[in-house]
Amino acid sequence: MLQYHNIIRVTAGAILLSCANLLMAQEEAADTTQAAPRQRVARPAPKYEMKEVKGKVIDAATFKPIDGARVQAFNDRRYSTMTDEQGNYTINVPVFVTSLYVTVPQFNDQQVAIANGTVAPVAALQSTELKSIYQPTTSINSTAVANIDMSSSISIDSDIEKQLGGDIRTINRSGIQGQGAAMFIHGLNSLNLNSQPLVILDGMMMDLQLDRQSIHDGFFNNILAGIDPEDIESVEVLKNATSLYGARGANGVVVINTKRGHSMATKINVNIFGGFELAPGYTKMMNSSQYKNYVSELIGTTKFGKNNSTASTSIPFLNDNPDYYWYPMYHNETDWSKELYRTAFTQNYMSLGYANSQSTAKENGFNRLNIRFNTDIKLIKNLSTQLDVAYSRLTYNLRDNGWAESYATSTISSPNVLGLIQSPFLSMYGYYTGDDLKLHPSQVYAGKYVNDDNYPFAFASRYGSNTALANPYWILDNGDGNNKNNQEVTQFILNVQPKWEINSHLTFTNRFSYQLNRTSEKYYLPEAGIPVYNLVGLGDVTSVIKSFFGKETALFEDARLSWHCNYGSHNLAAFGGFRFTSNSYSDDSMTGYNSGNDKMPDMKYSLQFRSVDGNNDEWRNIAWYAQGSYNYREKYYADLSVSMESSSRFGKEASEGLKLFGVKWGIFPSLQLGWVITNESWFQKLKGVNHLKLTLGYDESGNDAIPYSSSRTYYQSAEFLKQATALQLVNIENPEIQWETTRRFSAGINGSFVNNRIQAGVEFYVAKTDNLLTLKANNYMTGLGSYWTNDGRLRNVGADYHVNVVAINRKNFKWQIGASLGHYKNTIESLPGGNHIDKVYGAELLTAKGQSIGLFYGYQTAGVFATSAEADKASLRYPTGIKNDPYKFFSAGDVHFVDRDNNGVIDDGDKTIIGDPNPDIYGNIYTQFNYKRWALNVNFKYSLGNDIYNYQRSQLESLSGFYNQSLAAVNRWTVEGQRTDMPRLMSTTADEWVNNERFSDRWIEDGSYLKLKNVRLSYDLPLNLSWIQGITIWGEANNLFVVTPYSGKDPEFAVSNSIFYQGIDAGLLPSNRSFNLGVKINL
Amino acid sequence: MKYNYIQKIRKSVVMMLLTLFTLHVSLFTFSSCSDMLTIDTGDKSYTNANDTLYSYLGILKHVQDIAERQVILNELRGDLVSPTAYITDTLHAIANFDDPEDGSCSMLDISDYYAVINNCNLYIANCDTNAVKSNIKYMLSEYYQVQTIRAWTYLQLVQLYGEVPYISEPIASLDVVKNFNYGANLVNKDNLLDRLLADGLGKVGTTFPHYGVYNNGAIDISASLCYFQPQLVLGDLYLLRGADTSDYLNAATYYWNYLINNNGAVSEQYVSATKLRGLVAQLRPEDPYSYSARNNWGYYAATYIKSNNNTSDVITSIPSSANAQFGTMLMRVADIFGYTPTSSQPNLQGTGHPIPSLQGHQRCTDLCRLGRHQHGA
Repeated sequence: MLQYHNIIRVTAGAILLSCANLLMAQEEAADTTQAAPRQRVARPAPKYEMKEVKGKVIDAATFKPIDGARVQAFNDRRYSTMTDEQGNYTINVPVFVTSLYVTVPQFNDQQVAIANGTVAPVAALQSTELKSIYQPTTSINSTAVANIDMSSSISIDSDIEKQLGGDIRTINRSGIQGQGAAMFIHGLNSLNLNSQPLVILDGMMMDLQLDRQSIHDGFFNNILAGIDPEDIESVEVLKNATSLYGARGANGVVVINTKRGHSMATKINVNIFGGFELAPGYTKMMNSSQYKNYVSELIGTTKFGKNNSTASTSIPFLNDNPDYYWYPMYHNETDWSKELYRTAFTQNYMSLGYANSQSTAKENGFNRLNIRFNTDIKLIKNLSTQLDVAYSRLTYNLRDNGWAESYATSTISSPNVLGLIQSPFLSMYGYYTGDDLKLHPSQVYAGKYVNDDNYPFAFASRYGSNTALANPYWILDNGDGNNKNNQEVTQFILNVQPKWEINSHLTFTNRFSYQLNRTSEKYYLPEAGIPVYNLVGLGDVTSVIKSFFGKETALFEDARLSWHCNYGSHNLAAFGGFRFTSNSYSDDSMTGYNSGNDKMPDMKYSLQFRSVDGNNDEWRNIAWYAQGSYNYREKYYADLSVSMESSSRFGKEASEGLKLFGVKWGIFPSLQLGWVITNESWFQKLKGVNHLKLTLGYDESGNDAIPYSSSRTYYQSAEFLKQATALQLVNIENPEIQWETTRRFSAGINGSFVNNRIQAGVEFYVAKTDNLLTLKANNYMTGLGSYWTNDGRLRNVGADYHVNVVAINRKNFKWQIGASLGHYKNTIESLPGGNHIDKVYGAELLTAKGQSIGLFYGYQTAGVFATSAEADKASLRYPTGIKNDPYKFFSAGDVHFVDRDNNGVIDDGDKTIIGDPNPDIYGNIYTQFNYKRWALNVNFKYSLGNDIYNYQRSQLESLSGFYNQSLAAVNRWTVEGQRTDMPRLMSTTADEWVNNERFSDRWIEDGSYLKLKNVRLSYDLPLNLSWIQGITIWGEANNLFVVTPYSGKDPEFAVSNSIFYQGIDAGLLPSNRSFNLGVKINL
Repeated sequence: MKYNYIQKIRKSVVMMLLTLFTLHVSLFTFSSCSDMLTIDTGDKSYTNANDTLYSYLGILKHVQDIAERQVILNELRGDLVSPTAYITDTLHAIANFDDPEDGSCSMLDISDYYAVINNCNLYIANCDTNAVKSNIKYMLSEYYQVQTIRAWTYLQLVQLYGEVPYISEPIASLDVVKNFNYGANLVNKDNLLDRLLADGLGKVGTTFPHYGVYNNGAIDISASLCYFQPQLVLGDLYLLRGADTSDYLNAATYYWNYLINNNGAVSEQYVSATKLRGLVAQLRPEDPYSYSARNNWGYYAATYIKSNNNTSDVITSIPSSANAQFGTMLMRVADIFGYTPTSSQPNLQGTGHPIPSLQGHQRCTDLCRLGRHQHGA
């Protein structure tokens, strides 16, 4: 007997379609109800003392009885019945049954507590349009589930963001399509290792490559973007009890399940939508004359200005005589950002497996082709298998995005940055040509040749080195091409899980998965339009050519034996198993300069300063795990689980753990307790409480993301001289290196009240992470810098709250409103290596005992000295570091830095904590209206109390270089007595320069926000056709508005996955308002 | 038809499951956990002569890190130069024998010397000196170089710091440092030589490897210019100890042998000779004269150096690469003394060695793999 359940998502071609049809043709009707986990299958019931329970089921909206509702003993389908026309039922259940479970299609399931009684309270069922907390079994873990339907996301991250905002902190990476979000569960559970959750897709562990880099700035290859959100059934967040995931569970777990067939009938859902995103706003910059003022004043402070004449006759762009030959070149009014953005269009034929989405930044976009077959096959009696195959191919068109952390290897190349800082008095395409030899627009020659007399973009290079800026339009135009700036990702997944039902108590499953992930990326910064840039230690370059190829294969196996049995009032279940993962990642990248010709953008031998780089990382994990669950009368619950895990990344003499079979194993136990109070007989009297559950838990889990080879001694190649490659010892083994251990206490209370109209819950946790991986200085005799070791401890204390209120529940009109809220406080408890400071984007981030991770550490400011008298009064000195001339004084127009240690010198002793990127609270607020066939959803996302280091603004108001500055810079201090918060300009080469633009609280802003993430209106067409089950038309608006004190365009960004980068605004493309219109057809 | 189709699918799925199961069983029956978790890291890098060459170059690259410092520290502590207002406080502090307050002075970072030593120790411990090809122990001459570099580095350490810990065992695990007995292993000018001789310096011969030329991106540099002269290092070590007359005699012998072997003899046109007596006369009974420079010595020195293109007077040179792409650039001496080293952007397409260069890069890629390169992490 061969049976299939098919869920066929996506077919990109006739061949596949016909295959799918063949498969569908094989379906045969049979009873294929799949048992939910731990739910018992039907079999002859033993003889117990029985009782008769009577009750009634009605519709909560209309109060009319529901006919044909299925009523069963909770978590035991052996005892079940149906309601009659009056909605009444009588069910015989054993005396120990404490609650019933009512299920009706179109309504939410409901658990009805009967305790020891024989009369059940009336079950008033709510429509599936409303939220429900009831599940066929009771979970005592802290989890949150989002069901995905009619998604308009490119990547599932956005749905997680909208639905689970209080359970998992999400930070949207950028406005580039498919970039997803950085995610953190229950605070930050590691300092130097990955602190984002483990993702499990259909039972297999994924490597999200969070520590890998792209050769395009501001871009992250989001592995999750390879999964079509329309293929996803649900996302579950596991916030505690992650011991089963052993050394990988410490950051919590996100479980993603794709859609499977639940019945023999083939269901085809088609969701097609299209939409557009409006061009984003950008910072208003100084105009031509303001910039000219600024830059001429600036030149006066440079070495050039002090040694040469700065008269308007000797500086070409200052010559205002319209007859002057160069006059037209330097007298334009260009808004460089204006044409860099567009209204971007998106088309998603998601169910057909094709999505195409532009970015609002020109020449950036994304398309995806994906195919997924999820099949359940019954092979022989008791033996069935899941067989899933998925393939997706993603293509990104890219340019650099935002500010790079360092410009050591290339000139500023990101169009959205150049759009702000390029000189407004130059024109985009002005070129001296034609018979009159006057300035005319020429998209061919303007700025093409750097040695051209007409080359306008190098005007600043007379006054300082590397001051010339590129024309962003040349980067867009000449960087365009299949072999120039793109990334292509191919993902393939094979996932097989045979299942052998040995008998009604015992099941054996063995999952075997293979994942392949290939990334190929090309980068090309063109030759034309890019001014000469001097690389320190190398030489002059214009074009930059990079290529990257990465490949990861992962094998995953999970063999599991599950057992469950019921002994009257005692329910027992257990499972145990073995898990093996093997990952192999390798990449190669190459960089070269000066292609000489934009028609030949390939890696070739003639490039200058070629370099190669690569990684080759392999790691394997083995784990054994077991869990025993017990419950007494569905009232008292206990789950005891333990796993032991070993990894190739652990040292052979790991200081903790158990030595067995020649390797060290980390042991991770967990005990979770639960109590459903409403199932107690004494509780029945309390009206208004439909369900109340208390949970208490303790679990230990680990973080195995230690650098792949830190437990090994290894060599690294380096160049001794050209063509002479050297091999040097770069690391010596630390045999004691081990996982970080997180121990988490949690307590929760969840309930449903007032006829299930109010659902609310709160979960508290205290988690301590021990054995933090930190860098320690090596003994000088090794000749090496530092090594990884386990030392230090941090703590996360916090709580998650959620509430959902059904305010109005009428037949035709329903209104529910709800919110989630997350809060954590992160504290470093011990740091044996002492406090340290990490430098990121010019910011100093403090890691100190007793403080949170990643605090901004810098100078406090108290305005700008308006007069010399003020400056003299403060008499602050700037240390030069030169013995013979150790100090210079801050004077009028300089920033008044607070001299905290009162030594008269602004130095390291004056630094203090000036900001905290961790939010106080974060989450979602949502509401939903249903009127007849209409539904309106409104979803907000918020974060309060997080600080942002506005790096972009620190560059646009630095007042020390040739970048165009924001309009605020017009208000800079210029005359004695002027009251302003903007200091005077000063070239960094000037003797008077006192580094006013340093990292200080001038750049720290409150990053709190309330975003209207999504408003969606949908309408179910009133159809009554045999071949169409339903058609829904929907329209939505995303990111409609943001309420924030933050001065940047978007308070949400993540320039890297490391926790140290989370509050740093590097000017990535912001997300903007977008509108989609779609239709969903159920066949 | 339909039946066959079902059969086929069933068969293939069952076969697949069986294969998986067999794989699984074999995987777990025939391998232990430690085998399964052992990653092939390519730790061993001494499998053949090619690998030792890369390690030798690795040692030279580490020597680049201390070469300039050697010059700067000697000048700072010597009497011939004095710091001006244009150099950093750090160098002032060293020149004036002040303690740098924060202790972070990179000029005084002793670990760079030990990086040379540890890489030498690793080489010496792993090098198969008895490997024979065509009846020649072909590894020996390179091994002599490594021995000499290690001895020279210790010599510099002792001259700079007086007393330093001595280790000849390679540090490839943290345990080695943990169990190291500092008290019993301190060397100073009196006992350094004995330790080095006991660890193989005594058996060092005077053959040199043949590596042809290096190219630093701008010019070719003969590899022979980069050899360390064991006789001179030994001579210096005996002179440093100076415990008794035999030490001086040994030192003089080594210097003499070096000069004799390297055409270091000077024509009588430039020197005057005086008959020797006593100990020094015994040194070379066949030539019992002492020589001193005549007035035109300066002229001789100038022409000698010029005519020999700056090379034959050079004992050991540590080359700088022409740009950062090709390795370490030695800029510190130039920076401090205020001159700009000349360099030009190399033309990679033109002369030079186009084909070896490509191979060089391929080799680099391979070694990235071999070396468990950690860049991206």
